Amino acid sequence: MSDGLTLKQIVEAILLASDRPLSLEKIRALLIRDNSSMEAPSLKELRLVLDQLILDYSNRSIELLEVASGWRIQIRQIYAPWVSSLFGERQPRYSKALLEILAIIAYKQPVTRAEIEAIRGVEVNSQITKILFERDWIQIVGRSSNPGHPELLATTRQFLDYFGLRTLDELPQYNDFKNVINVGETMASEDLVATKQARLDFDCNVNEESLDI
Amino acid sequence: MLTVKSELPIAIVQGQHWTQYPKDVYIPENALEISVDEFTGPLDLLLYLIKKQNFDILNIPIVKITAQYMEYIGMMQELNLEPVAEYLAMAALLAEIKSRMLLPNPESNDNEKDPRSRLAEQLYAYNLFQQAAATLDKWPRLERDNFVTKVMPPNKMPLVVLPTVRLEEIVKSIQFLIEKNRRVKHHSVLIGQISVKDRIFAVLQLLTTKLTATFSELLLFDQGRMGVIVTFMAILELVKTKYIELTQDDVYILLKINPDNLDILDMERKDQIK
Repeated sequence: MSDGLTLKQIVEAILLASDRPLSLEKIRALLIRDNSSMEAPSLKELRLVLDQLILDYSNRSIELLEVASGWRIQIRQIYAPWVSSLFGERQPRYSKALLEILAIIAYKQPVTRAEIEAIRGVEVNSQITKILFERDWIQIVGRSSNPGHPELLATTRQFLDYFGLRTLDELPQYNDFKNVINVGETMASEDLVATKQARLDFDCNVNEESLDI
Repeated sequence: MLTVKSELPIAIVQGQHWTQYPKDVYIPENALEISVDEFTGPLDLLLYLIKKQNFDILNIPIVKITAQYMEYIGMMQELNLEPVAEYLAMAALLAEIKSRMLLPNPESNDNEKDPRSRLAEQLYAYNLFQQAAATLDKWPRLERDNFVTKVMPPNKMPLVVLPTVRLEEIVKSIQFLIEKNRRVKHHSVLIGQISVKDRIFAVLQLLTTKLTATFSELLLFDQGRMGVIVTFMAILELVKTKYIELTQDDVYILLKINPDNLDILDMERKDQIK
């Protein structure tokens, strides 16, 4: 880098200014200036720089974290009491019912409303799913082949970002889930891994379709 | 809580003894009862009753639980809380299980399933998801535990805005390339069909690695004139869908990948690796 600027500082500046997580690819694309012949750093170099930043922040109130959509700088959790008072009483609280529905979708996805109802023994409150959709935490990933072709619900990348997770595997794992995953509706005997794979496949299909002319 | 304190036979407030509630204090009738509408459903209520008494989910004393459950349903009615259909359905189910357990079974008991097993299974699963929900609630999340930093960028950002490309420039460049490739055409043998979709992917792929490219860099020599046209169409489509940007640096039109769409490409590539 010219002018005594280091790659680390430039990457830090980009991450500090962004209020959304940035993927490695995106950071790399931002490093290319139109009229310079500068070579973009390799992804490996970028990773090294990010590792250095993590170390730099080790005794500071901020931390660099990788979530589903990429890398972001955030305030460490222990400072939450002070920082949250900055935002007043705005910190959201979620009802028990909402968290239950979210947990079922997260662990059992893709899942239909009927399956959620079978587990909880009550109708799924449409107000709750509306909140989950508005927060961009859940999405419809397709339709079940069951009668009526009900919508299949799954969590989004934003959900993972919000909870500081990279993948669904980082959710606390319960061994017993394997046994109860089919409780309720007669869902095909696919385990969590298979359903997750199906979801990924689906995402890729969507992208391909959107490119069709 | 005040209501709890004033339940003591004699309250002492600033040295003064009270044997009765002050008349101006209003204590609601059901102040100390558990509010029934706190439960998210009949299973939630059942789980509460089971946990409160440390019963085993797999071996619920069904007579006791049914009696307690009905008590709560009664309380709901007293509070004029319309017990919703689901609560009543559960009451019916409990009554059914109870009666089936009380009735002697003439058949051999060996292969007869415990009438409680289906409910137990459901309670077990629901209990697990409730635990997961509670863990999720405690999990560090944005806006409560972690906050995204937002540092203001300097006011005067030296922004280099490249001139936008005019349509005639694009047409001119494509004409030039068609002309150039006409001369190489007779070198090529029979050309197969070239699909726009394939070219779109090829262009995207090249741009993800190179990030910028010129028109001619995207062309494949052996695709000849048809290749130029199809590639051109692919580029137009990508510009339209904002996957790429066109900028002009001097006389050459430069294709630039739009960083906003890198995530999608990123995923595609991950898929390919699999």
